[in-house]
Amino acid sequence: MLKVSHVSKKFQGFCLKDVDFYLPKGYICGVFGPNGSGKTTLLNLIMKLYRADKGEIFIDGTDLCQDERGCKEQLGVVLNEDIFPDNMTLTENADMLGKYYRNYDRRLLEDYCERFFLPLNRKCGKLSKGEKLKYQFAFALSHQPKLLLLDEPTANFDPEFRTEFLKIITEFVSDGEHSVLLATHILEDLQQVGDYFLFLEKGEVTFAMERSRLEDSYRMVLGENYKLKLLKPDRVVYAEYGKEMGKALVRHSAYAVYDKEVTVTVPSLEEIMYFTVKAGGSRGKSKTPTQDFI
Amino acid sequence: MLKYIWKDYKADFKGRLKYAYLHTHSWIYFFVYLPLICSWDIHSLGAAAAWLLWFEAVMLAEMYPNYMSKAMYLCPLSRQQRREYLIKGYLLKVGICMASFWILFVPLILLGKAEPLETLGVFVFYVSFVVMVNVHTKYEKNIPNKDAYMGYYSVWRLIGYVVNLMGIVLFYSVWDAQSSALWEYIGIGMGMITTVICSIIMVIRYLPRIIERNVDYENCDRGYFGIGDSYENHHSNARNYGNL
Repeated sequence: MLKVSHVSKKFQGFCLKDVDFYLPKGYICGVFGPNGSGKTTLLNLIMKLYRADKGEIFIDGTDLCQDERGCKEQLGVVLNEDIFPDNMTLTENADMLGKYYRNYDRRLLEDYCERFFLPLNRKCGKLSKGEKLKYQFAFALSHQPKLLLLDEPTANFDPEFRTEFLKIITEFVSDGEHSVLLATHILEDLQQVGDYFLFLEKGEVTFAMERSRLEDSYRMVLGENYKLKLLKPDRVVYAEYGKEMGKALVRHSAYAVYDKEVTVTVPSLEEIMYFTVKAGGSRGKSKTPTQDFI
Repeated sequence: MLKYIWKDYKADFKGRLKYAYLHTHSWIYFFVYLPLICSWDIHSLGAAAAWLLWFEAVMLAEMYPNYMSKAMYLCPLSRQQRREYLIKGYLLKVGICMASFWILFVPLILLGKAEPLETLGVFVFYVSFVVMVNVHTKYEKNIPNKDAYMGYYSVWRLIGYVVNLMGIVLFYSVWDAQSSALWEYIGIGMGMITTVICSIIMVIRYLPRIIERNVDYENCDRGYFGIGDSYENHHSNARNYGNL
């Protein structure tokens, strides 16, 4: 569905370097990373809001540079910002922009708005931040895209709608013809729905891999400090020591052996991100360039 | 495309009107032109009509600067179609102004309140003003070192506006007077020529650059065109609500 092939984009003071991954149909890919890691820049490149300096992007087999219009027909976008004029009602806004989409279906929009409790005759400016994002989501779904690009949408959703939102995107990909690229800080959501994970740090892909491989690649080791220090240094991504006890994120393999006195768990995405970023900060650059492309 | 632009303009009319209303630029013209034109001869309907037209042109230029909203950049439009959207948007504004001119002046001529020669003179000043005032974009303020990029854009624009204003005021003062000196006719002629030259320069030199820059969101968002670009500039851009 989405192929990002060795894409680079340079700004003065920031560089997105050689991003390369492939997202098949029917899957949800979570993009995560600390602030300023390049998540939004990557999404902007896929939306063709920015031009890539190097590399190519294909959406459903079509080169974004060759057929921008065709590619954008396939994209549904939810951005964490206001993109609709405040003074127009939801229907007016949707009709104004919907006419540019071949598959725009007003009835579908109305259905989603009803489902999200959005009054169609209300002006966009009167909506709360969360409602505006819900409306963007409804509009994105109303033109029946194949790929949804979601840039940190869940932060402003109430817990109830967050569950509904995750349910909808899971339904969206369930037919095996649609995909979702979700960039977020809320790793709890990603953990729930993500099939693939792309971790960006300082504009570079630290890893891009599927859930099962990610779960097999790392372990969180908790134990006494001296036990942690006995771990092979090349396996340790980063270790944090307390007064007596500490914890470390380590690279895991099927042959890895752990001391009986340490607790070994599968790390959460949050732990992976935290320890990897810490490792990058303490060494100047992350030592975990696991470029296992999807 | 023209139909879509018309629909877009119509749909967002109220919001844009409010934006232009709050934008001081429009009101400078309102206050400057009103006393200078109308007080010259309170009975001159032509002058009052001219003031209305000038004000309409400024309002339209402020309401619909040559740019696209972020949502439009996300729509399935090719680069060529976005360029077409901007060019036709410009032409539509000029067309609306031209139509308004004739809608106002044809009845005045028919009623004997304006003379054909007077109408022609006002038309030259008006066309120059309309094509010049619409060479305008929302993101001008974001261009670092604007004049380095735009050549002498602001200088030409200022000269054009001032000469145009003085020209039309002089035109009506001469037109309404019982007798006028030769230098006044020469002044009108000079004003006409200068204002036409300024508008031609603006259209040929700057309109293509403004359109080319606004075709790509990247240039609008980051407020640059390859000069003085920096990550810091990106963040100091007040209109950039996105993050990295």
